[in-house]
Amino acid sequence: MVNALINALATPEQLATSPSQQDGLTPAEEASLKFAGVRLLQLAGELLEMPRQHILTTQILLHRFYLLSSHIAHPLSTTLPAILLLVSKFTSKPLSASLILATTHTLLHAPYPLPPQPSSFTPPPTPPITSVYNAESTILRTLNFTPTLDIQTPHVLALQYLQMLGLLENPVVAKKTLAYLYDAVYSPSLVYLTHPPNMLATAAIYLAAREGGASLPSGMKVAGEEWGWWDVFDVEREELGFLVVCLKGVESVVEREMARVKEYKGWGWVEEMERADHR
Amino acid sequence: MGRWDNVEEDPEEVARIKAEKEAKKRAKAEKKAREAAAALAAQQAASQATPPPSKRRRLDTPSAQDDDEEESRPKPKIRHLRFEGPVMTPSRSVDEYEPLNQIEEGSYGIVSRAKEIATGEIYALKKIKFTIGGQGEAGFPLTSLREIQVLMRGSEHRNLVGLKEMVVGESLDSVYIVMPFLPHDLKALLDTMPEPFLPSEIKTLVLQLASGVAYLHKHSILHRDLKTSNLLLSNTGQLQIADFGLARYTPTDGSEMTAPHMIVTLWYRSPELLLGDKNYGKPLDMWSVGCIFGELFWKDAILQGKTAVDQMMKIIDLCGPPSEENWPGFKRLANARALKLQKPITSTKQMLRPKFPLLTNAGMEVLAGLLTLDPSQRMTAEEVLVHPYFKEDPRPKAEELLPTFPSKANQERRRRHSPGAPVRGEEGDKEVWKGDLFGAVEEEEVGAGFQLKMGR
Repeated sequence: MVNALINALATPEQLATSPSQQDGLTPAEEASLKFAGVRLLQLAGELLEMPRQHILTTQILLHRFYLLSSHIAHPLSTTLPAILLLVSKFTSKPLSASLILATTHTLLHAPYPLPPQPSSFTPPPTPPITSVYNAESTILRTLNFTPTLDIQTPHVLALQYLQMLGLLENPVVAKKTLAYLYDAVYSPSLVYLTHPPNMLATAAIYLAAREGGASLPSGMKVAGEEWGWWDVFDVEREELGFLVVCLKGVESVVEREMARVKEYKGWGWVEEMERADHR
Repeated sequence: MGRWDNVEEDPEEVARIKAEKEAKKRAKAEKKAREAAAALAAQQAASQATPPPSKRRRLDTPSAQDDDEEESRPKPKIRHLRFEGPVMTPSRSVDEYEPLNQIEEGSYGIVSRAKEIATGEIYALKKIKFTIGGQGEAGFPLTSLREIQVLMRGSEHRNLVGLKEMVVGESLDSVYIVMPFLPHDLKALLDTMPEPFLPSEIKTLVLQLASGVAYLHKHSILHRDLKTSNLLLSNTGQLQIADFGLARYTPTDGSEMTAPHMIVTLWYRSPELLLGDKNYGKPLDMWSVGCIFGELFWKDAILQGKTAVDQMMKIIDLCGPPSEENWPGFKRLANARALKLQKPITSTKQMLRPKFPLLTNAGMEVLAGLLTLDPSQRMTAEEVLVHPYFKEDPRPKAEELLPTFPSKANQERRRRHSPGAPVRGEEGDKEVWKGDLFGAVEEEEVGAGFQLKMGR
């Protein structure tokens, strides 16, 4: 049970020094590439019929990897299939590497939105499968062979909290809570790298309950101290406030980034950005 | 920007007051660091993000009426639980270790002894066998990923070999598992020790084995290759279960396990596996524990079949044949139809009795319980641990009082001089450590660990 509360978090030094920015990417470019990575993992994961929970694991893994590595040195074209391959190996139904590569490769080069006849589109030649295996090994050694083994997603915890708050029977709140947690991975504040699962769960419940019109317990005095319900889940008011802002901010980030995808009619800009000579 | 300043400043202000109040509380200091980090990330985001509404408004909850007094409000003494997660960091280089000698080469990799340069401590390094992009390969081997996963769990129990760390060489396919080095394995010990273990010593060993297996089973891990050569022993009598190359988590989604004839070394393979049961589980490990228990008395494996069929016949010779009475439903297993069976004339316990004259009645209950043909009736690890056999005299010997032995793995010279041992020492050493991983092999390292501990 205690395990569900612990995630590897980024240190302040790690957050302050971005390998991608050291390679010349601007903060905005790095954020766009991260968004592309997270979004494409979701699209590929859905096409490959991965469970939602496993897709989230791939997305957190992406954040962890690029916390320590540069987008310039490690392009998404090989990192994305490698992450999907790695996570799928820990499931009961490991996916074929070439199927994964074909999926991510097609997505990266397909026009957006997809034409009504997808067959009319021919992607450029697929990169060699060995590049995916190499990327997989690189991810493993970059994260000290712990990927997926210790990624704790906050969903089960959130459901337990909802039950304690008497909100599990409220389908709107429960659904919104889980949705906020899935969407939180799009936050440019990288909340999955900065906050442990109990804080993410609490913030998602706070927003979901407010929007779902459900009431949460009011504060109470215990031994002369004012307690909020979030204190029960070991979250401070300030931490809750910060996360609520982050989770609410996701929507505008997604809108802005998707506008770029629509403008470029696809994800072609990803490789351009990764290749761009910034030095 | 102004609004984001607000977000950024607030937690810092809070943290400052807190730091004054509880300056000596380490946990709080860590929190401050994290908030600073979060604020930093937010600041980065703020450079592009449309600033969302200020957090003040967001926090407009029923219990937050004292919002305005926030600055002056005395900080509550609520203690929030904080756990420190692991730090994300790349694997260290294998150059942190100095190669000594090779211990063995198994089907899942090469195990060698090496010294951590910084500490002088001795560890076992296992090189992971794989070829990136080779024919039929699917990248990093799944068996190794599973083994690493189980080893991480192993670090939590004293009777399981744990994982110290993973280290890597320059090329992508040089990856090593670093584990504690234990000088003996039970198989080599049994082969070379002049006298068998005393019953009190056997109890100590079996209790440790059962304790490790119980921990694995409690966490839904099957070892699937328990045998004396996978049981390591320290010089202070501590037993550790090693080699999780075949281990895996029991599926929670009801999917079938791997082919039953592919797992567990033949001599330790349970009857349900031999008969082709695809729904095997924890009892398969307990059969192996029973084989090991018996082997400790005999100093030799108790069921040495040459083929799967021969192995089943050996089991029937030792324990008696299966029947609908002692193993309901066994005839439905794939390979059971081929068996021509006689009716059992007596129980497994009575069959075993004359073959283990030194075993007390309570001990016989344990052995017969473990060597029960029907997996659903077989004794579990938890049941072994609480069995009266381990409470009766002679009591289990204290671990530190177990006899010490010269180590086979430790001492290259001894191996070379012993007549029956395979002569793969010297060449093997150069083989393992050659290449750019460790640089040159120093000749004197071979056998450097030699110390005669006989007679201690």
